[in-house]
Amino acid sequence: MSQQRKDDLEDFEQMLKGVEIPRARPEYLQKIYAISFLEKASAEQGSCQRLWLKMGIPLGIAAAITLVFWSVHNASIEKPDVATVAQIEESAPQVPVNVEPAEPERQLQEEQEEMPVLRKAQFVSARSKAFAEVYTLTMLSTNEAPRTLVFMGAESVMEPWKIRELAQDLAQSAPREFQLSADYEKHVRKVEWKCKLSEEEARDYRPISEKSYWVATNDLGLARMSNGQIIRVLQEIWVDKQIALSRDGGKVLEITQSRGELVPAIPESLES
Amino acid sequence: MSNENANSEAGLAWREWVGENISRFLLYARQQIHHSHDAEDIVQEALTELWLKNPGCIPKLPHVYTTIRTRAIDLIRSRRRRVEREKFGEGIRGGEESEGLFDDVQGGMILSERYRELEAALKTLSDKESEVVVLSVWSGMSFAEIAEVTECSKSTVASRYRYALEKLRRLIKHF
Repeated sequence: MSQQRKDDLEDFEQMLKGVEIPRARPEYLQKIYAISFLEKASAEQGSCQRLWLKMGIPLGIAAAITLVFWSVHNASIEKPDVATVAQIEESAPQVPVNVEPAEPERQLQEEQEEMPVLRKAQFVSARSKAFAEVYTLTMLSTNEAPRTLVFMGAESVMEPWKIRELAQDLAQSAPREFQLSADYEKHVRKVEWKCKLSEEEARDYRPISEKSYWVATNDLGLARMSNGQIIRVLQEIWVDKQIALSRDGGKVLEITQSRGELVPAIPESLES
Repeated sequence: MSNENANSEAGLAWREWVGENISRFLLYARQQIHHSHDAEDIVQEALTELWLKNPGCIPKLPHVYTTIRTRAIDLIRSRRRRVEREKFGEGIRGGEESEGLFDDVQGGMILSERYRELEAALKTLSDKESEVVVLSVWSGMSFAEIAEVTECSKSTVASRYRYALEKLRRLIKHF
């Protein structure tokens, strides 16, 4: 761009700057003047509102968080509805009246230490129709008079309701006086079955040696094994059942049961 | 409005500042929106907004022009949406004829040949070129300030201004 042209443009620019631009209408100018005063009050009011907002929003958020926290907290510790609990209780099988609270764990441990016979046996629930529901019971003791057989279900998969059912089965089916105690604690899962025996019976069922022990066969059947042989079966308990035991070195591998003719429940091979 | 408020220091400074710049603001707003009443509304809204943000403080000029520009863009967009919805007319104001920058310069009287020639020449410029001319010539802003308002580089503003000035110089004979 030549200097002459540049000068020409600068002159033109100065002339443009000298052009009068439209003036604002007086009434409009007054209105704009008034902004600073009319809006002052609203600005102060707005600042108050903003102050409230500044205070109110955090407070509101804090209140909401607290509310949510307490809701969650209360929900986590909320006790079950009374009606629901009652309904569950009613639907659950009733434990026999003679069920007693479980003995303390320490006492059981002492019994285990005392008793020479501590073996596992399989127990088939009276209500079960399949071997899938064979439970393992551990015979804990044959105490002194009154003779009592104590079994404790220690199957890890045994749910509390199964223990409860088992106890009920035992109570309903037992021809003798039984004392049942079931522990429905979540992690204990045990059922104790105490059977009072006569002195004569107790003599027979007295543990002889470590290789002689009681096993629970089927529903309420008991068999006494000695040196791998079942030497005694409480016949009257499973009179209507036919059982077959397969043995391997004294261990009960399988217990089967089938309903059929009333045959002597004691297989010949089991006769002592 | 109390006299105390009206005569306060901030109030007096505001009046002085408004009186000094209001015509420039209106000119720029009219360049943006092409209508005097809309321009007045936009300027009023912009100044109110700025005042409420910082009561008693005189805003910086680039900030004022940026606010006016934003308001104008918002208004243009809303008008376009409305026109599209209503399928009514053409142009921003729905068929209304746009006004020139200097239509009111003589209080509604017929413009002189000089102003008509200037108005016609300005209409040949693009909106961006016209904007730079208005801000630089009649608002007295520097290229840096204009760049801040128009959101482009200083060199772009300078080149736009030079091209626009040359174009106007060629078209206007009576200056």
